[in-house]
Amino acid sequence: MLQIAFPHRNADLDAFGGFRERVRSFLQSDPAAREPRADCWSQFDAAFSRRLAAEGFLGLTWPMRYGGGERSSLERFILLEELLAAGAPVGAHWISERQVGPLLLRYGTEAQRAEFLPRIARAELFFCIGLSEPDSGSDLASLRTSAVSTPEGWRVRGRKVWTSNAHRNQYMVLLCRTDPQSQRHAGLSQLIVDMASPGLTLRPIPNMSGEHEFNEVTFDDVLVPHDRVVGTIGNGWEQVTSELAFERSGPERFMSSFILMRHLAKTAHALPAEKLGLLTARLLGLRALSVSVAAMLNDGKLPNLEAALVKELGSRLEQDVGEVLLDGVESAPDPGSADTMNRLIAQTLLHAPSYSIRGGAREILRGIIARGLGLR
Amino acid sequence: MIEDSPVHASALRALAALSPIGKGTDAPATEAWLELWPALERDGFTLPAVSADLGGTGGELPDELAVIHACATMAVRCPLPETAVAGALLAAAGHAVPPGPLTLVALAGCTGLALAGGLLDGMATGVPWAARVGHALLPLPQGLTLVTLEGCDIQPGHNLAGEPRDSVRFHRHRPVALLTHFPAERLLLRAALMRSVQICAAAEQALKLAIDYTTTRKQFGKPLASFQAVQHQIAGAASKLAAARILLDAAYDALAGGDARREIAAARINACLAGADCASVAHQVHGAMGYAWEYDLHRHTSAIQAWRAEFGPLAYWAERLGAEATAAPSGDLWQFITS
Repeated sequence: MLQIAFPHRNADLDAFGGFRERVRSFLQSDPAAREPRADCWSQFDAAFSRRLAAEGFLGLTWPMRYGGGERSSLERFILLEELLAAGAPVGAHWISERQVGPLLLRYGTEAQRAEFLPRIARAELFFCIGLSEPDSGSDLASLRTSAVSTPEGWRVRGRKVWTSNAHRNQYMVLLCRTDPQSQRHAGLSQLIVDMASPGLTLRPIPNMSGEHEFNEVTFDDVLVPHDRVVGTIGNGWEQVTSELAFERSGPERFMSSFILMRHLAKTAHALPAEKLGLLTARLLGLRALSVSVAAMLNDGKLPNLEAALVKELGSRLEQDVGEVLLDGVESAPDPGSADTMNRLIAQTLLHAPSYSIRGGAREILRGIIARGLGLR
Repeated sequence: MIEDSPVHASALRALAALSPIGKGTDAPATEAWLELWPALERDGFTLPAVSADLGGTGGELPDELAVIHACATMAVRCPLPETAVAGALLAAAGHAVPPGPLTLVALAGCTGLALAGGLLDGMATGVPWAARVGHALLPLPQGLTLVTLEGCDIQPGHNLAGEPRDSVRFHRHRPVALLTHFPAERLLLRAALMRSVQICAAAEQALKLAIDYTTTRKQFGKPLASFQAVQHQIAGAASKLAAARILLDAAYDALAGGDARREIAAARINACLAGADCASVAHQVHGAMGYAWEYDLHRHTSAIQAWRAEFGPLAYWAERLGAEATAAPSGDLWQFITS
């Protein structure tokens, strides 16, 4: 169909009902469930991540020798959707577990895997990702932060912005230009940077909700040892894009506002059934698409186009939920309100503009879909 | 995938002669299907998912999906989808399927009917192909009811796609069968799914035309498709269609397992959303050309609009899904979604 095919694979999840129940019972007894959050995967709570780790829920699909659980990526899908459905604060480990772990498993050296993966799986250390720069946002390939090879290691100079949780993380996976003569996608490499390195400074960039999640990270001759190169020098762009299908297709790309729908249905707020039904139908469609991509990934495929489509459609639903509730129920949105619905609507309205920007702006995703359709 | 099915490919071939697509003013006459019907029946396209002992060809549910989809893809107007679904319903109720084309009546079309003392009186409205089929299935409060349309007073009407949607007056009319043990609601579900399949197939053809047209038509010295404003509209519509498409498979998978109420409502709602967007975008990027009778786009887009209105509009299914979601025993929306 139009060169974009999504086989229906929901039934693949049925085999793991016992695992789903295990996650649910953990969530029911965990104190974090008492205060559900909208956009919960931007909520940093290291203690909660450690409780998940103690259950073996981090690095679920990784090899056991690296602290993983050797479970299927469909079980991981179930874990993620249950965490998101509960509005649990999963932001501390999210990026490390979703991107850094798979990156190291695919491209890291044996020493890097042994050093970092078990500690990520135990929620002992957290990574941020250094991508955007002051002059390079959607046009990521124009980035200029550079690293120069010296006998003692790589010397990094430049600046990253919108770096989530850089002030709370121990390491960064940095995308930088290692070939000064290179243009665009060539000559880029990934380095693991210790956030405590001399010459690395942080400046908070509060977001519109007033929360400090983003940072500007300045590198002034920061030394990165040679053994902290991930994969191959000059192969950074390919390495980054190889993770995009994982990053863009998961349930966090359409469930950031689901806790509002769930809370609404539970408390019989006066939203006409028709409006809840419409949102529920869209969610069911997105969930089926997302499971389909998870199954493709489980089969070893690289469905970047399909993942872009999930994120494009999903961010629209996440944003619409806030709008529909704002227009549809009596509320007084306030992040500090004692009323859960007021709090959730406020959190959503203040975070929603980021949903169609983070991880690939809507315009970029539509461009990818257009290419997949043969329009460009 | 629907298109991977050999039944889909053979249905496309079997229906090619009836398709108006690409034929301009040489399009086949609207009644041309009557001549081809015996061949379609013989080759198993009319009752694709009905077992042989009840009059069908012993195929499976995905074969029915494939035939309905192929028919809408070719913009062929005939009661093939209605016959396939009515036949499957009768078979599920354990009743033999009468020969010839069949039709189904929507709940809204039965409001003027009364069944008393075993006799049917009143007017059924919006009956697809009433003047050309032998039997109709009605979702009456007493249960699914099979009637012959012979001897009834039929007033012709049409939907936006030019398909007959007739009014049928019954006078002390004795039904062929009253299947009281069979919930009439299943007719509504199966018929809504049928229209969802058709909408998705037509929406896909509309998008294909949009892609073909914008990649070849040049303005300002370059193809229309090179403009982001054009690309993004089509990408957005295609995304919605992908969600609607996968829910068709979800609904047919659920039907095979029994209760498909949640999946069919979701499929219907998403088909309406996607159909609306695909039709609107396809017209926009075609400029005036898409508005011309001689160009094929309207055959798909008018059909989408016609089918959105039949067997319960989006609002009906959204209201119903929302009510079911909150009426779940646990009262938990997440439980409803994952059960």
